[in-house]
Amino acid sequence: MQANIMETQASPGGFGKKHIFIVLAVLALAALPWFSGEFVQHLAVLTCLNVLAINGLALISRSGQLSLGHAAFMAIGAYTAVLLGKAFALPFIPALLVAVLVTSLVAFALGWVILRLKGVYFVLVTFAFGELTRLVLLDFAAFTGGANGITGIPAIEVLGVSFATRTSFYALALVVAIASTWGMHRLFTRPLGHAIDSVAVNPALAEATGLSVHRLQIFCFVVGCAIAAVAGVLQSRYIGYISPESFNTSISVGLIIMLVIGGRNSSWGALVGAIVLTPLPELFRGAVQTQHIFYGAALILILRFMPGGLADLPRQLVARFKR
Amino acid sequence: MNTSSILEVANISRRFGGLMALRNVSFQVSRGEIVGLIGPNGAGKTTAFNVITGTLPPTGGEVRYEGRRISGLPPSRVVVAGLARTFQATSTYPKETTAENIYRGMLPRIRESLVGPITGRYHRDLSASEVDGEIDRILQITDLQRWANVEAGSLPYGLQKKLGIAVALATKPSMLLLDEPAAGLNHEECNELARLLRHLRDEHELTLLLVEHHMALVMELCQRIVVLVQGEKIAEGTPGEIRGNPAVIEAYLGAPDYAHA
Amino acid sequence: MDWSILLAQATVNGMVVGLLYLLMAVGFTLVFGVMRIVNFAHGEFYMLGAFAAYFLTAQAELPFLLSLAVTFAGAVVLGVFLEWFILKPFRHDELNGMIATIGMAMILQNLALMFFGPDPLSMPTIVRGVTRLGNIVIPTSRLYVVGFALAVLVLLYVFLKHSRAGRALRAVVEDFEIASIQGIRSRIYYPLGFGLGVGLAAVAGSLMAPLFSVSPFVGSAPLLKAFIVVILGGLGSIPGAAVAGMALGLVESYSSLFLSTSTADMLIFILVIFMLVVRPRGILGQGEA
Repeated sequence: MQANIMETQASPGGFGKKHIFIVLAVLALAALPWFSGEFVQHLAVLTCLNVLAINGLALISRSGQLSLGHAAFMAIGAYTAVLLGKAFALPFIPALLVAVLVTSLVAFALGWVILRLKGVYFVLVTFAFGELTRLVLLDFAAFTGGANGITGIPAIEVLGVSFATRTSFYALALVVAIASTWGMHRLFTRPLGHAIDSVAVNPALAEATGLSVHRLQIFCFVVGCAIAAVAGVLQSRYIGYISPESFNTSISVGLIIMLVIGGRNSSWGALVGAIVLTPLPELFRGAVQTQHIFYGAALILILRFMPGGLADLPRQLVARFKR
Repeated sequence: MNTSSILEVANISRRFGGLMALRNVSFQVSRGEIVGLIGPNGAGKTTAFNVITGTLPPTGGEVRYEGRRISGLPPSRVVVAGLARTFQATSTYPKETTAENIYRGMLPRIRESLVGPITGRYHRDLSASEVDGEIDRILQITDLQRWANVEAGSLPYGLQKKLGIAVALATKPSMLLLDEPAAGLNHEECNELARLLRHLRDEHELTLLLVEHHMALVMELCQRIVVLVQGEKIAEGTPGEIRGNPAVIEAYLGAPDYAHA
Repeated sequence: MDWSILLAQATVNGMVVGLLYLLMAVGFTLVFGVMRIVNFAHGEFYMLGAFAAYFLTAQAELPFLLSLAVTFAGAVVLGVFLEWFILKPFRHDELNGMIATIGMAMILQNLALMFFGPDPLSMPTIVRGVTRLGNIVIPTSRLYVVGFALAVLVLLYVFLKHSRAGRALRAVVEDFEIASIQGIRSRIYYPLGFGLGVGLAAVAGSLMAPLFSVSPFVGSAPLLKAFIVVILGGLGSIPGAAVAGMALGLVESYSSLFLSTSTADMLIFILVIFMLVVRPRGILGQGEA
């Protein structure tokens, strides 16, 4: 008799009971910053924000598309929320909701048009869109502050709870990072997640079984960009400052690198990629060029020898031992 | 048996730049029939297939399924209407098992999932608890139980093709379009295929349309045959009628397949 | 304001920029056509070409034309080398190949930053003075650039149209599947296509170096323009890239008379989206998009 297929078809690259000790290790890692200095906490916050943003990118990637303009949607979310806050004194949650709505609409409009086309065009247009967004933000300086950006963004205050300290913000960021990772895992154990995976693996077959490739990719693109918007809003409230360069193409490329190195097809991928790569600039201590050369080389090596990313390493090791 | 026509292909044409791949092709398929679509290479069979399944819109004419127009709809909507297809080359999700592949064919049917609302499919007749039973049913029909937990990518060619039919069945179609189902099959696999297709027609009330080159199979299996040559229908009739049709003979002159059918 | 003079100058400027876009886009579409890879490192080869022009003419004091030739040859060799050693595993894996070119771009740009520093260098002009055509005053260096660019294009055209390798390359670009059926040994054409494509980018960089500045950051704008041009002209169509490149240069130049650059950029982006909706194949592209 067939075991329950829906349960046994585990999220490809996801985690189950046997990974419980990894989860514990991650939790221990997550607890560390509370006992460390400001600087480690700062890195931890950045890592968590990256995890969120990369999970959004991962969702888009798992539907078979690669977005090179992800940071632009972080920008749209951040600027919308910040401007609403400054202009209408909108509190955090309404500003966040409007920002997510606006970003989703933009993503929907763009996605509707470009997702009909070959994947290559999608990549090119998202790249161009990223550049365009940066230019718009630079240009409409009256609204956006132009190249100087916007300073003095207040810390988050919700229902009387303030997240002004680094430690409290870290708690918030951690919750968000874990929630997004868990959300990805859950999604890909459900039929919807299996449908998304089908669209990426064999779009012709998926379409021939009643799965509208176009609609599923739009769904992933809109949700993925909405997640980016949330990450952008949180970032703006943490750093207290945004500018067009906070969300430029090299940020988008950085997110892709973290995703690819972490693992595009795994629920862990964003987490691994962010943890490994966010603190890396500290190891290089100012040798920025060497650091970027390392990124580029690591990217190529991972693509060549471990296309599933670092998150795939346990599976690869197991397979090697079985031989 | 209800003999009303289930599929109506009405004057479809398809132009590619300067080339007319299909020119005013019309035919019907009645419920419960097995119809074959044959023709020499370049006749437009694949184009007709793609127009019917929604992969291509026609540049003229219409395709109707159970009275409703399906031409111009995307393939996923055509499948919703009840018309499923198989692929000429093997098409599976290679890293998933046979059972998982079949599961993926029925995703839009699962009531509790969001797949239906997102993709706009409303034929949601399965509850999550019924999924396993349905997979078993299809494994039985296609005789794939032994390979249920084998990765699809590692299956031999003939079984992958059968899996293609199984996945199409998972969509709960009322009509099945098969794109050269016999291509690459050996003699025994071919007999197995014929048996399966007849079984689908007899026991599961499926109507079948085959695009095929394998003449022996077509002649043996199909009640009616439509012949396309250079984008136009030149003949339609029973195997006996087609075999004796001078225009068809001329089109296939010298084709070894035909001579031995 | 004498509009005819403004228009004439805008035309010359538009032609200069158009030729730049043309060279970038043709090289880019060549790489895409042969390898089906979107080459994100394309802009960095432009940048390397600019640096090569600087060092060969300013430091080694080679005549400009010779330095162009040396740069081209060097870029082709570098391209072949990189294709062979880095991109070869991705020959049938376009998505990962594209990401690999992102890695390549990072490496190239940061190597340049390490060796040359971030500050822009300005190249001494290759020729001084101005030329008068009727009422129009054009810096002679621009005319030289146009002249050299046209010479490169003529050579390219002759190569693609009349040499066996060139015709085969075109066949591979224009219809990949038919070319491989015809037995054209695609394995040679991967490194050749990539080398030639990036060679053109390097030449573009060299040509523009006297007009714009030279720094490790000059590659990103031409890359973006190459993307836009090939979307408008059709990916995989060499004539399309040429026509669209020229057209974009002229349109940008004329619109700068009336609009700010960023407004013009936005309108172009909207045009790109419009083209994709209405005619995804591009102006001269073939096949389904």
